[in-house]
Amino acid sequence: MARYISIRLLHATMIVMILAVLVFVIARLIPGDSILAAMAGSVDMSNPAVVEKVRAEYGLNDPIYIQFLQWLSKFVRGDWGVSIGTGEQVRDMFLRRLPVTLELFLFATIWSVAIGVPAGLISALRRQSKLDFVLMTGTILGVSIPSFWEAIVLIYLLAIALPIFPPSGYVPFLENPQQNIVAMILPSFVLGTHSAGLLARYVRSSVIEVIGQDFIRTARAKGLSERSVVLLHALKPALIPVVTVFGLSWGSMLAGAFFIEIIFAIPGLGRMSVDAIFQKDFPVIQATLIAVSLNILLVNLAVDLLYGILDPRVRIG
Amino acid sequence: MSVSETASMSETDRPEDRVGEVLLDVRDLKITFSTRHGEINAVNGVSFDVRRGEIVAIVGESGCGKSATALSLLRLIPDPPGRITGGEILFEGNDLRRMSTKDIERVRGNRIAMVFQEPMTSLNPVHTIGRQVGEPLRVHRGASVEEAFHKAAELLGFVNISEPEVRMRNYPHQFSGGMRQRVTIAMGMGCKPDLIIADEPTTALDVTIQAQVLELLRQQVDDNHSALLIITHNLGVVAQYADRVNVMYAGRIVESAQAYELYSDPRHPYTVGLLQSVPRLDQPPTARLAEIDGLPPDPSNLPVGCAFHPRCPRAIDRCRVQMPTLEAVSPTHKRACWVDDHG
Amino acid sequence: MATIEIVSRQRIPSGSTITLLASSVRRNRLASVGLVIIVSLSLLALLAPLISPFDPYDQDLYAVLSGPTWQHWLGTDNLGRDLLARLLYGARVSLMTGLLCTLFAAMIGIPIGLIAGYIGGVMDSVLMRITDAFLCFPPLIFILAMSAALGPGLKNVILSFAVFGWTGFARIVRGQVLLVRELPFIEAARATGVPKFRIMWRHVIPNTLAPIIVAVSITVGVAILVESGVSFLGLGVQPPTASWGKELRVGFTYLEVVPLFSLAPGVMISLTVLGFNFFGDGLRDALDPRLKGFDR
Repeated sequence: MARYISIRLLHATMIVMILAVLVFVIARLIPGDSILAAMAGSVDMSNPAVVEKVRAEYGLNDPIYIQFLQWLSKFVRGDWGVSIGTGEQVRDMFLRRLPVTLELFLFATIWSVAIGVPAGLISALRRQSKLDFVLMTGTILGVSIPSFWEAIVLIYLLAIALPIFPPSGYVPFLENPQQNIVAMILPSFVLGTHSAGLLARYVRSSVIEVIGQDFIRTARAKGLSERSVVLLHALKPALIPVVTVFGLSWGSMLAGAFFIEIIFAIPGLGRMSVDAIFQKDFPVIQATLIAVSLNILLVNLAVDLLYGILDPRVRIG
Repeated sequence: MSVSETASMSETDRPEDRVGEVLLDVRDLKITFSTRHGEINAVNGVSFDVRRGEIVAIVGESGCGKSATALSLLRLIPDPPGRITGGEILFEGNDLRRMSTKDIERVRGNRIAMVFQEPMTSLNPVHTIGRQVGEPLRVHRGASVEEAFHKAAELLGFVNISEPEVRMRNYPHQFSGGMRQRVTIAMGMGCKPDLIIADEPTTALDVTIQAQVLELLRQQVDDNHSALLIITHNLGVVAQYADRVNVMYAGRIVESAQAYELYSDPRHPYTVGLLQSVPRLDQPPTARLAEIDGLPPDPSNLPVGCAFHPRCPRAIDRCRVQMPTLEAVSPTHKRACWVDDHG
Repeated sequence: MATIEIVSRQRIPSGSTITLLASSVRRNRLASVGLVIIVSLSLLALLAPLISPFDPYDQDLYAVLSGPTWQHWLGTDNLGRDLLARLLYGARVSLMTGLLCTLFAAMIGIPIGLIAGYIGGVMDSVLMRITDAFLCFPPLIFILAMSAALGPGLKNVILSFAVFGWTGFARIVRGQVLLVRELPFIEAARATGVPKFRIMWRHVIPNTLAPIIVAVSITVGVAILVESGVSFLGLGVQPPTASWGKELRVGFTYLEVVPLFSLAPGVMISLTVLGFNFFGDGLRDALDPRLKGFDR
């Protein structure tokens, strides 16, 4: 177990270093005049002294590797820069919007598991039947339909044609819990259905593989009913590897969140990022890229560790 | 409900009083597999019985249908692809084939227990040993978690696992192959079954461990006045432990006798060949091993007549056209061959 | 089941990979349906200039945002342009983009996978870490960030996709190479002194073709989704070019006015991606046991 963890941590560290370089390069690809143009709103661009000061402030005069190290050291210490568009501390923007996105993700994950696991399980147990075929085709559909279209269709059906849910908008939880949850249902559902498809497929193949194992036959030979065999003996070994799928689908969920937040007008990190991209607000873009990639890295790491804990073969030498 | 010790269907008779009576009576068993290459008759009319207090062996090469036979007794062959297509499996008078699912579940692990050949994969890797050994007691005797725990520790002690209480909390991957096999036996013993079916229990083990495992099984039979049906291809095991032996070839029983009879006076050319091919200590070390010509037949494409005739040194014309039937050469010795052969 | 012994028959893989694939597709219903969809849509895209009722850039300001009529089967957009025409031309955009993205991604990823898998060791480790790092970016976010850096437009979308999308190919190819590397006939080739490059070219690559084709199919689907997503946000195709994603954005803006406008573009995207996914999945299922080369 210790070895398992340490290898993973080592890999993670290497990846983080590569990531830092990547993000920096991407952000710096933004041509300087675009940055200046973006700042034209808040700063007097006609005065060359001001322009010089701003350039110095953003470190645009130093050689590139100095810029990288400066940026890195500031970032690590929590100074994520100031947004070009709003002039706000980027870190503060982040913290303000993080809980919103987190809530969206939490609900989406609940949807995903609630739909995906039973679907995969039933498919596996009723292998090669019509139901299996329908469910598995459904998963392909889930992956093929763009999330933004699914959102649009559902908004029309359930918010405009039949005004059950609000078509957009967000109410903070502390203000009005009920409205908050109702507003979250549709967006999180759309987000969840995509990963539900992937999850269902993995659950299905995992369960099928486990059911074919010898120890399942042993369980039957002990006189357990088929239901007990599945629930007590097959489920746990089958679901343990599925945990790693979360790592895989987390990335696509993050991407999906961008669209969902825009379409449903939810003031989360996704929306903030897209706005920043349009405005070429590169401190925010940088911070977003780091946040996204680190997040995915950490989730994958956590998932690997979780797997290690759950599977006794890994946990105990 | 507490762990009850009585397991037999009729609680008035004691097992020791019923030694010798027929426990398992298999009549004309037929099993078919549907595969991509067509329907395969893996088992073609097999009949044998097992009596209380005795150890019966089914011997044969890989592919002869012996494992299929063993698994079918408790209806453990998945359908598809395998189906029992004929015959009766009578256990204490009741046909296991016609039992409801609930009834056969009550027999499994309780009245009849199975020990499988792959100790590595037969145990659930994510459950503790203790939980798995105690499970039959929880299912069939309504034992509580604690009761099952204590009984499981006791059982592990019976099979000579040291420090059972500690090892109960271990997982299968922490045990060696031999220990795992002993655990499987402990698992089967819990409800004091009347019959244990052991499918190649020693194949995956070292020679030294093999002896231990077999001794354990024999001890079970003696102590509980139960019975053991052992499936194997290992003639040495058979010679030492079995009371009666059935030799299978291509889905049929070709010879059936008391163990000593089989070894001293084999009456089927296949049996003769098998016995001759076992290396002996009194042979010079450089002597070539005798072997049976040819390869085991393809179950989907069996020869006409006696399935063994292409490889048989004594085959006559009749063997090529007509399937021999099992006939008695003595009250305890049957064979299926047209040639009057003495080993 | 381990204890049921049925005589197994080993079949050495024979025939070229192409015939193997063709027969797999024919036998697998999913793959066949996918192929039909792909071919039909490709035809529509190719023949768009011939079959389109209108020019997609023609504005008819007297028929703005009209629903389906006899003249405009799918209605018009906010500038009076015929939706059907725009969708047909949008097909060209999507398919072309999908193919180019995949092509470039494959051109980068396959060699990397081959090198990592065949050479192994430290090179493999380093390449894999880099791959993992790139994988930490969801495709979309990467492309969005790049479009901020490089500017909007399809060219940049394709470029950005290639820059991150190679990871999928690299992984699959590497995995396959690792498998094939251990096969006896490769060892035999090595033992008889065949040079590494030759082994790779003549033996390893043909055996990795099958999963690569599956990956290509799936990647085109992903690329189309990404392109429509980026165009939906306004960072992909630039006006007046038509793209399914773009039309969907228009539809969303006017959802309450002409709800049906949003239906067709979404259906087109979904159908196309579905076709590629069906094909890829079906092919993968059909090839699965054969990937190991033996028939059980």
